[in-house]
Amino acid sequence: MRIDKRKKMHSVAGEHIVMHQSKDTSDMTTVVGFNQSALLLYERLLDRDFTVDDAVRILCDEYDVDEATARRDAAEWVASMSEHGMLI
Amino acid sequence: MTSRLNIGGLSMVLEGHDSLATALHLPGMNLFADQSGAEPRLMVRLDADVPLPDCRWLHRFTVADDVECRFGVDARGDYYYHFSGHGTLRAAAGGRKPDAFSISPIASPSVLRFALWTAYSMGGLWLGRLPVHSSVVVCDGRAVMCLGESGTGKSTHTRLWLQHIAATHLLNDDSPILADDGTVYGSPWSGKTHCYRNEHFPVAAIVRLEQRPENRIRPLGTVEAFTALQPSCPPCLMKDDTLQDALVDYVGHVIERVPVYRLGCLPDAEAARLCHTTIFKS
Repeated sequence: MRIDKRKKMHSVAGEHIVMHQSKDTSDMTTVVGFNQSALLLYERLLDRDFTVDDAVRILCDEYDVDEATARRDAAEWVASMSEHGMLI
Repeated sequence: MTSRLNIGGLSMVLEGHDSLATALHLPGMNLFADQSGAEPRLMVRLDADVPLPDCRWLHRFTVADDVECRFGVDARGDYYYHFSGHGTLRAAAGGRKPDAFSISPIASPSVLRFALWTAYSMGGLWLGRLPVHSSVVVCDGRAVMCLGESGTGKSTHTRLWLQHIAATHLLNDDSPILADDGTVYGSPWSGKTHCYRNEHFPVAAIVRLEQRPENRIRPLGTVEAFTALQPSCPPCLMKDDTLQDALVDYVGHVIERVPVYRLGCLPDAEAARLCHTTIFKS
């Protein structure tokens, strides 16, 4: 999978967000906020094809966390990104 | 003929003939004649020759008594709003910030009013000012902006402030101008309530309303504050990348300076009192 770069990340008042506009004629916008670890994964995986294992490895390298926890967090991140249409 | 207006702290020059006369006769517009002598920041040519453009259309919506409007951008990077059966607004940008606006002859006062609002939005965005869909009440010299979907009860809520809270008055009931330094201005755009006040006040709080079976208010963190304010900004600004970037910056600057709340409420006096106490206790 890859991160869809067409959905830009913005820095807003110290926080990082990605906005998703609905494709129809409505004015609905979904805004996704990124905490520190979510932002790290986003930045590190932005320009490449990756798997959940890649995300797990990044979390284990960066944080003092066991693999099971990292795997769970990575899976959640991927699920959330997918749910918000940010993966292609 | 030319005329100078000052709206939201920005000096504007309007040029034209028949459309200019129509514009100056719009209810409340005369209150915004420019007394400041400041250098004009926005230039609007009315009764201009604006041919129907060859555009990439980005958004379609209806305004002012069911007039269809399309928003688009051409190959040069100029933005267009075409009001079907009425006329066209061009915001000349050429890939830079729009700073010159041309509007073809528009006879309908309501469509012209909307075209002027649109020109202001497109220019004001780059100068840290936007119309924000809201009803604004002023209390003790500070403003509370009530945001929400149409029909949520913004006007009902501010009316309850006027009825039940002392030292309050209405600044605008539809489209005040919010500057990113946290000041809100009255404007000549006030929806069905003709509340035109050429005044400005610091914003004590922005409150997004929702109808709920009980009254509850909570302060919002950054991301939620962003989602509370952004939908009340002009929708076309989200349909183009350049405009969206500027909009995000604008909203970010505002929420750094102004507290934002979500209020779930009933249309009752207690809702107004809860909101007032929460905001003004600090």
